[in-house]
Amino acid sequence: MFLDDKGRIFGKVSIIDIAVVLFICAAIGGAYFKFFMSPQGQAARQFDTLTYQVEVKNIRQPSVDAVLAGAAVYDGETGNPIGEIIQKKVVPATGYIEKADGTIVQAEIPGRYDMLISIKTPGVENNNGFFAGGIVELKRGSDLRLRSKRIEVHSRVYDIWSDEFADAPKEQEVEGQEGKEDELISIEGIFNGGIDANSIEVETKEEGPRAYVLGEGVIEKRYDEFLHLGDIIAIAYYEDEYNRRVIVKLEKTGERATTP
Amino acid sequence: MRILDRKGRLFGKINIIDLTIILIIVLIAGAVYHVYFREDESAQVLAHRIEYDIELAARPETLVEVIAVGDNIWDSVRGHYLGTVVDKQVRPATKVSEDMVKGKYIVAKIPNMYDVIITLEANGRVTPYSILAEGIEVKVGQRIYVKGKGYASPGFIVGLRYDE
Repeated sequence: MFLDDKGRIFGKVSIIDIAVVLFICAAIGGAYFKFFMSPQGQAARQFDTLTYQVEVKNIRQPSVDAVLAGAAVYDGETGNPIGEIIQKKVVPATGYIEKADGTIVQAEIPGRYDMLISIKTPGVENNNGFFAGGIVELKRGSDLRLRSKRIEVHSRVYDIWSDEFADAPKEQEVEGQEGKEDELISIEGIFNGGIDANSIEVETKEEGPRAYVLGEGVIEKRYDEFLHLGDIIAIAYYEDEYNRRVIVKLEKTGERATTP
Repeated sequence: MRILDRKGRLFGKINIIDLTIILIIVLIAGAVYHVYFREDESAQVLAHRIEYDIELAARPETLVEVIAVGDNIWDSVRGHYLGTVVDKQVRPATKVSEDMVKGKYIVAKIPNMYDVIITLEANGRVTPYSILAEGIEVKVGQRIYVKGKGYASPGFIVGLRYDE
C-alpha cells in the first residue's frame, strides 16, 4: 500500500514529515537564489562593470577626509560589496534661509560639505535595472547606506551607467578650468570680509553679497593674508553643476572701497 | 537489523525525517558561521595601537576641566573599554546659525561652552571591512557615549589613525 492508514508512505515515512523537509529545502534554495544569484540567474562571475555616483549631503570635514579613493565600499544594510571608490568631488553645502523680509535665499553653510562619490563595481545591467555585484539594486534617487573601513554615510544614488555603453559618461576626471574658459564670467566687486578655506564673499552693485567657491589654482593662494575688507577685486568664474560660482581667476584691483 | 524499520527509523533508533531536519539545521548553522563569523585569513591583526579622536561638543567648563590625559575611557552605554586619553584639545564651542537679516549662515560662539577633542589610544585590529578598537568597531562620524572617572558625555568620532 502506497500510503498506510497513518499517512506514512509505504508505511515508513510520514507524508507530513516529507512535506516539511521539502519546504525547508525550498526555503534554503530560495534564500540562496535571492542573496547569491542575480535576478536572471546570472552567475556571480559573469559581470559587466558599472559606474555609479552617490551624493552625500551636509557633512563635516572629518567625514570628507575619511572617504578615500581606492577604498572598498559595502551596502550598510546587507554588508554586500558594492564597489570601489574611484573619485570624490567636494563642494560647500548650502541651505535655504528665509530672510526677515520674507524672501528665501540659498547660502553656504560654514564647515559643511556636499560630496559626489564615483564608484566602480562589477555588476549586471538588464531590463530590470542595475545590480552591483549582481545583488544590490542601484536606482537613481534611492537611498544607499555606504560603508567603508573608516566611515559609514547615508547617500543617495545620483547616476548609474554601464561601461558597456559607448555613449555613457566616461570615468570623470576632476574638472579643471580648461574647457570652461568660454563659459567664464568676469565681474568686479568688493570683498566684504567673508572668507574661509573654500569660499570668498564678494559684493556687487547688481547682486549684493554673494559667496563664490575658490576653484583649483586659486584655492591654495592665501587670500586671507592679503585681502582686506573693502578691497576691490576682479574675478572670473563659471557656474558648476550645482549652480555654484567657482572662481578661476582673482585679482585685487583696488583697496578699501566702502560701497559697491 | 534492517536499515529502516517499519516506523521509518534508521536502524530502529532515529526517525529518518528527524535526522534529515537535524542535518539541515547543522548545515545552515555552519553556513551562517562561515559567512558571518569566520575570521578572514587576509585580515591584518594589528600589532600596533590605533588612535581615534572623539569630539565632545558644547560642554561646560566643569566637565572640560576634569578630563585629563591618562584617563581610562569606557562606553557609558555598553560598558566596553574604549582606550586611554593621550591628548586633549579644547576650543570655544560654536554653532552655525542663520542671520535672517543678511540671509547667510554664521558661526556663532556659544558663551561658556567648549568643544573638547580627546584622542584615545587603544589596541586595534584592522580588517578589510572595519577598524576595531579594543574589539569595538569604530568609524568616523559614529556617535559614541564616553565616560571617565566622574564624568560622561556623548560625542562623535572625528578621526582615526593606525600604522599601515
